[in-house]
Amino acid sequence: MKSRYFFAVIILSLVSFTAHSQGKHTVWGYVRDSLSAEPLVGVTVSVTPTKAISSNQYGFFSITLTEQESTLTFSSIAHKTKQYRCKPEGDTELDIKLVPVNHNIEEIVVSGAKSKMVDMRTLGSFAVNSEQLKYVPSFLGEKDIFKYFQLLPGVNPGKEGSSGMNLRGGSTDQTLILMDDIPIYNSAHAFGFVSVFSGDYIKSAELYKGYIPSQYGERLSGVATMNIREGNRNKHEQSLQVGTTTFSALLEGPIARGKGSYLVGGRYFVPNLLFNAIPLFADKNNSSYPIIGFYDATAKISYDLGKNNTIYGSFYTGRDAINFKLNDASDSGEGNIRISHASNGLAWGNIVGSVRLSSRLSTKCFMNTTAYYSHLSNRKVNDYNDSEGITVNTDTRSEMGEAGLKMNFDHNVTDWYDLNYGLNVSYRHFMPQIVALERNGIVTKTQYGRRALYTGSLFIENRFRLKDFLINAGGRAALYNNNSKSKAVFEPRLSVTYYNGNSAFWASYSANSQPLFSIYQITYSVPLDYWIPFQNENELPQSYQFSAGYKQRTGFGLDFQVEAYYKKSRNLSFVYNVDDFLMGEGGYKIGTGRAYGFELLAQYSRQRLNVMASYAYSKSVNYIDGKVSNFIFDTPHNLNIFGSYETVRKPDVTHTLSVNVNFKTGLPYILSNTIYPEIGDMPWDSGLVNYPEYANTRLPAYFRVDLNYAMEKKLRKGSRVWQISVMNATAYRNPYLVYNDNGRYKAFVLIPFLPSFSYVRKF
Amino acid sequence: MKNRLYVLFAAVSLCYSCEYDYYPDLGKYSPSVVVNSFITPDSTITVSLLWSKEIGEKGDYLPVKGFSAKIYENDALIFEGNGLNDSIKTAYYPLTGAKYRLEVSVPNYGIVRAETSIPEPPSAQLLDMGVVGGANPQGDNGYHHFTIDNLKVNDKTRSLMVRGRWYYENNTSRELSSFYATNTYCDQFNAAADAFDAAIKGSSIGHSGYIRIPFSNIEKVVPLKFSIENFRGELVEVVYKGEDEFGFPIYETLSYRLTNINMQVIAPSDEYDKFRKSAYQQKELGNISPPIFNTIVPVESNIENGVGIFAGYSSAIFRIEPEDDEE
Repeated sequence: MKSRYFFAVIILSLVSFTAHSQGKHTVWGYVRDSLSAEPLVGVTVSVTPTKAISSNQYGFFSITLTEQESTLTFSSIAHKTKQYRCKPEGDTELDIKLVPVNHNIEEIVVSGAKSKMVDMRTLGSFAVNSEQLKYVPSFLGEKDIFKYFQLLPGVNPGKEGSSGMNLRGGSTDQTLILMDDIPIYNSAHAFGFVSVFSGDYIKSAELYKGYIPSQYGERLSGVATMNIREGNRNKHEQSLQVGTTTFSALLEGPIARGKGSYLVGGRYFVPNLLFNAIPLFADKNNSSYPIIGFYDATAKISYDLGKNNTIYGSFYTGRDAINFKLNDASDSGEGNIRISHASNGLAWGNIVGSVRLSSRLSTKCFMNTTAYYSHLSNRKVNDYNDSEGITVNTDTRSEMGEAGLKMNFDHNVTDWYDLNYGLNVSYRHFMPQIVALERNGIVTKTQYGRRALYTGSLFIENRFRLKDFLINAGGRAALYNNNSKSKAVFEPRLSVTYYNGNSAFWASYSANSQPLFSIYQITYSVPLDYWIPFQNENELPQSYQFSAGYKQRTGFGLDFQVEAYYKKSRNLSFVYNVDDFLMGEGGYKIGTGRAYGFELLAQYSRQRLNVMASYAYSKSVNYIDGKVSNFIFDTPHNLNIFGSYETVRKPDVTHTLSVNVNFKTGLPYILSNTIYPEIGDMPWDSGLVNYPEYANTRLPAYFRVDLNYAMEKKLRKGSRVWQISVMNATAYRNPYLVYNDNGRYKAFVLIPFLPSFSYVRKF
Repeated sequence: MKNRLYVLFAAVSLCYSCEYDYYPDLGKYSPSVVVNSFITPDSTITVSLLWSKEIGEKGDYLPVKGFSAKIYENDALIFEGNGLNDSIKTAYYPLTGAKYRLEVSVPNYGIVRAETSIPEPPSAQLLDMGVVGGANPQGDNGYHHFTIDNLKVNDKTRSLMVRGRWYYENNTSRELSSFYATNTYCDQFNAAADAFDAAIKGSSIGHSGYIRIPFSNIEKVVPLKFSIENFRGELVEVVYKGEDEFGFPIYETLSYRLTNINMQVIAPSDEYDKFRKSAYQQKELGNISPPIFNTIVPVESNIENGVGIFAGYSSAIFRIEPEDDEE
């Protein structure tokens, strides 16, 4: 039955392909930043609110106009709006350059209004203004795109400080995170406190948590896409940042006389310098100390192959490590002193890369082909060596890798119809646990849970613009094989939007499936995770979401929207015993999930002031073995209010004060007031705590106020920014975790009051 | 002092945090019946019945009184009686391969039930390697080495476990609390290797209380080499003898020679295995420093309308005497 729907959609699409158009002409081209000449993604190209398209990831747009339609409006959240009057005959190529909102260049523009914090698109999706990122209270001095997303309704970070994105009652692993179309499997540095995406490199970011376009799949809850900047095509630029958390550098510039560009950047965890200095002062024969750090590097290169093709290369690598070092001198007998050195550590990181070819096949058709590889590894390493020649090394690793190919076609068929279609294929290998022991050169090695996953999918999305209606209809047909079982699914997607002046109503339906999921390593409450494919053909996780909303834009700078949703999930895997699970001996239960709620978002922008307020009511529960339990990050009430005000606004100097207030329900938690004796011959005597299987209480309500003051000054060459931030300015004690300390509970507060600063110099 | 500074520095740098006493709202506490019983063909069935306590409550666990109990073997009633004290004591030896069901009726509480079974006993060969050679080059530090080979079990149990017990000349015994094995096929949840300890003790994987070998690794794990500490140790007891003429307490130190160690290879029932493993994890993972790594682990219990464990196992026991070292 499902396949019939799919074929019907395809046939409809083919019929549309052949639609004859008379008296119409196509306007196509690229939208670029006026200063850097970088292609701009997500620029709205519109004739009317209904008749509008967005520039794609490469800045390309193509729109068909009738003879009566002659004025195109180009609008972007980070750039000043521009209008273009077209000649009503023949196809027209345009090379549009938009001026950044914060740049004071006299140019003919239609509107110079201050940009909003986010572009409130319909259907539960948002596009983030990366220009505004610098005014968001930085976490540990870092501009973090994930923290920015967490200001939006329906986005729950989970634990405090986390860079997780739990969308509408789904877990973090149910959010597909893409960097230049490459899946990222661990998006967190420093146990989740900082995301792997530096705000300095982000060109644009989008978040889908309601209607999910057909080109995206393999996750139940949503998609976050990050597009890395390509670099300035006009001139070479450098940027250095020093802060309490990281030292970072960024280089960018043109190559081959503007035919291409490069961008190279890196970050280094500043406290790591202090940790690495400890050995200089520590007793080499009797000392113990930690070494903690992370680094990452991002690079991107683009090059035009003629007028119609551009090739891109993207690369990212990052590594976190925490090590505890131990030096010891002891008497090994007969007066000999043995000097021994031990190191016990954890490390994790990603290496990803892609090559992409974007091609304009015609004035109406654009093709993008991406080949990528993404690798995630976690390691636990224990090394020992001593002056008597003894060496012992243990290395416990988990690894996964994904290689894939994506092809995506954007087709502007007629003035009322666009088509997006393509295919994805991928191969993933999983090695959840590899234990290697080397003792004096003799190695024993064991592996647990080695698996593979093959996926292939075809997708199609039809976009109809009919008077005041915009209809997206399509679907995704996918085939998953976990090396022993195969499962085919079809995921229909539909959205209908009705525009009425400055307001819009919409409703959507999305079906999703997810052939892999992550399980947290049981010894850590922090994200050091394994990924695993689905177990059996009848255990493929699937979800279905309905959502409906309303958006209103007022004439005095206030925009707001409200959206409600209902989501059901089935075949969710709940792993309660990692060892048994990895050895194929159970250790997990299959359950279902249900989430519903509504979300409010209001934005106000006026001259020096920017305010964004969001509130989300949500309820998310799981059903396992006939029992109902709250989703681990279920947060019924979540209120965020963010405001920024330019206290100083001169041609060369801008000072901005930002405040963020977050109040939300405490997270579900497992605690017990019952302790009972252990059976007599066990080696402990303090008793066991009768913790229930599922959360039975909640942590106290969460409250946090963050402040940030940014001082930007334009210099003769470049600019500099001083930034001072205070997290949890009221020092409110929000428990990160609660634990039993010899018969009484103690709450552990992660961020009591946390000041930080950073200095950025661009030249 | 330096080490303390480093630890302090690390704690401040890593966490920059604070703690405070927390009083969760968990509703009114109501005590639960605690059933504790491991049954094996080597001994008669006994069941301990106590009341749980509210967390933080001082004092002993109180016995359950006035209960009536029934024990079924393969659905046939083998014991019925009323309990006055905190336990059920029977004269029945469980049978290998049989299923057992416990039903205890407690006044003003209800009926507590549990079921388990007795798997086939394992077989193994224990070789005493002494302190010379073996896996430990630093044998003179007091680590004694053994090897387990020919490890087999007929039933498909979830695991096999190796445990040990010290026996002293005063007829007391102690749990052998630490093992150090060199084999990665032991249960990986225990594989929290500390490399420094590993080299000193001639091993790389420390096991508190017992070594657990998952069923799928039984053939791979042998020969399993492991070591224990202070094989020639003595049990020292300090006994209070009263007060002297000035009112100061008088203590007498008594030492008892180690007579033997019993090494036990256990074939657990599912209930036994799940309970052991989860109880171990609750203790190990719930008390980690810094607490950011703490994890709450529920203990798996098969007691319906109560807590604790009623679980069967069978075992093979090997005796080792310290005189072997002196040869």
